Amino acid sequence: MNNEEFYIGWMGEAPKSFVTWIRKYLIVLLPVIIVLGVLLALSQKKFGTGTFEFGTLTEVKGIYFNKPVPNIKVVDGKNIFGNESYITVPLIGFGKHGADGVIADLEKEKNISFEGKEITLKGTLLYNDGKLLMQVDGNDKPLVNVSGANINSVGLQNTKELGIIEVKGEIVDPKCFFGVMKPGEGKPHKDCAIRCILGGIPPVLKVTDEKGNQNYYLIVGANGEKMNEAVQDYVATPVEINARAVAYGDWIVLYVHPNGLQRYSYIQQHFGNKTASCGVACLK
Amino acid sequence: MSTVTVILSAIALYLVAGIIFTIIFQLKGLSKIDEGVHGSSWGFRIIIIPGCIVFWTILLRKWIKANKEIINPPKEHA
Amino acid sequence: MGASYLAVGWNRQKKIYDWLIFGFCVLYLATFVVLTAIFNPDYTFETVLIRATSTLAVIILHVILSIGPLTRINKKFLPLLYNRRHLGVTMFCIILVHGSFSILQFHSLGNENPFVSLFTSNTHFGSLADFPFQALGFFALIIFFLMAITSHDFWLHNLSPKVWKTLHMFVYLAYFLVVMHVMLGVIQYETNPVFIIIMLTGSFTLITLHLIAGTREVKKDNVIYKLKQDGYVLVCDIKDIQEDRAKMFCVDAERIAVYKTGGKLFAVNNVCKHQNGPLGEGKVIDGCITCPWHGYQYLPQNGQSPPPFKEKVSTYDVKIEGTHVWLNPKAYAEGTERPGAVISVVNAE
Ligand code: HEM
Ligand code: FES
Repeated sequence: MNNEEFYIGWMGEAPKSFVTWIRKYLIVLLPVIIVLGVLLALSQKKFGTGTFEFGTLTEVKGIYFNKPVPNIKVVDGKNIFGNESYITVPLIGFGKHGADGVIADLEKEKNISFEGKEITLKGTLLYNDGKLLMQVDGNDKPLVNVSGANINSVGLQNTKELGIIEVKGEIVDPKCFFGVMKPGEGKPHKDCAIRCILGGIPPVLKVTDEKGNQNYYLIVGANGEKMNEAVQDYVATPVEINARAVAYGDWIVLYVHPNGLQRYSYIQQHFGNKTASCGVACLK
Repeated sequence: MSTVTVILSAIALYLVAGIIFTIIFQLKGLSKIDEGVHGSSWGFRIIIIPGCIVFWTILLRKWIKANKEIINPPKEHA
Repeated sequence: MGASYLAVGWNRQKKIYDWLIFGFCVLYLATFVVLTAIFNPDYTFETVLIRATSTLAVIILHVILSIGPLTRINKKFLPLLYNRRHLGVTMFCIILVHGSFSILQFHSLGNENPFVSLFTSNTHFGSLADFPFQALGFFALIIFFLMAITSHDFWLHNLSPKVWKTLHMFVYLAYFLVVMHVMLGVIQYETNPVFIIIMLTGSFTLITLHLIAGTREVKKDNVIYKLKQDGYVLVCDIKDIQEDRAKMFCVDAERIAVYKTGGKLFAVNNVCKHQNGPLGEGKVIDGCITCPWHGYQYLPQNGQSPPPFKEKVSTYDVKIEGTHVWLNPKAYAEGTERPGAVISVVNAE
């Protein structure tokens, strides 16, 4: 180095040779930064098409049921026999909470049970992949109207036993998955899904078939009890469920057998036993 | 899991103590522990606030030591 | 130092530096956000913000960590080192956005305090596939936080240089935590190998740079000086040292800088009191040895910073025989005045 060229930060100007060198460095750095930005932005997985109508309140009229999860059945036109057909809209609460609390508060306020009654609720819709859910938030004054009389709900409950099934999939929280978050599934979202489910949002099993189509199941215990806490360790990871499946209108509910929820590892399933026995053999 | 809650509460408590300390320290102690503080700028005082809140125990020790030295100055200082 | 503290001692170079940091950050964020919005239109604002800031911060972290070894390999990189702390604080501010928004998005509005939720939602600390990667990010963020809030020289003095330097070495732990945070987090979800390739290339580059710079230092330190007499070792010829410059010699594990200035040779400890900068690569300016890293100054004859500053380094004895420079590696107490060795006209020829 030339004796004259010495760099000190507190001087007003750096010597020429330093300036040229740093300029070269920056000229290399600039495209690197841009290329990284482009690569990283473009290689992200495509986000789901879920929608959360944040800030928009919609009134929905339907018949309220508390089981298997709080929901309202909404008339959706007529089926081929001329009977009214319904879609089931599961209800969820504000933030990472289920709807049970809000509904219980409203029932207390009106001093009646909403079960089987026609009710008009105001809330925020979220939907994706043919499923519609609604957020009811106590702060939105969600109860618009509730009829005094019970509706004859026998026909509505329209349940159909589908027998015992075994399915593999991922447990997600439907609020994030069907609308609020991108991605609302998988490892990055795992903590959030657990927090939502522990907060009372009903767990949903997402099953992807060979064609890449997805089916969704509500999961509850063998006797219809909530499984929110029981699934904590099984959220956002591959699981296998053994359960009695019951079609409940347009949703299928899985009544999970005791011990019917297991982690599922592709590697272990296909290679695990071989490796394990090989390992044991080697040890011997 | 109460362990996490206990640890986090302890940290929060420590930091609250730090905030109280920092208010008093900025008013009275700061200029005693480091002479570079004399004539320092406002920006400097603001920029060190988060550090004072976190490292308040270390600063407190220095402050106590500086006070003692004012009462019995060490020999070499004369 | 003994002068009054300022928040930032602005000068022209620092302003240019900070504008460049700002420009690069805006450019990256704009590229990432705009492209995501165009090609992945179902994005949410939160996710784009979380991802744009996190990836930018990791890029800056790589730049920061490469500056040290780069300046050791080529001194022309020194202007990058001189305001590295601005880069560090910038990185912290950016990653704070990522961390806060992640905690808000993934942990708030639930049935548990968000910070408690961070550690209690996913408790699979024993599994790689399920590992709670957010906790790793949290600890890395704490380290960056501690570094950012202590970046002012006030803290270097008041925490003591030793504590301060130890704290700032934790950046390597933080880097490791970040790599694991990414590997055990988003990489397990994304299917495009670009992410893992970029992450591994980054780590590989950093490790290589550190190894190259490290081996050079070790080589310099391992030179063996054979000729000894009366505790002195023969280190070089007078001609080898330029006027107002120094050469660094590592004798008996002591790194010593031998300066030539004003017709004399002086020896001082090579390690700057500020942040261990190499004084032997400095220059005598206005009669003071000036550290090449941030410009701390010391008088060659006694190793003391000129008033009002208070730093002191050890001094050593040098002598000249013929044209040979002999150095005694026994250190005097920091700030001890030594006469130096006079270069007579005969020696110089
Ligand atoms: C409180 C601290 C932190 C939390 C809670 C946190 C949380 C998260 C979460 C949830 C993701 C996945 C987001 C997604 O869906 O894409 C993520 C990704 C990531 N984090 Fe962090 N993080 C924290 C700190 C850090 C720090 C300190 C760094 C590095 C300097 C960092 C770098 C990254 C990177 C590079 C990614 C992958 C890109 C992305 O998905 O955003 N994080 N973090
Ligand atoms: S290391 Fe900072 S001035 Fe020497």
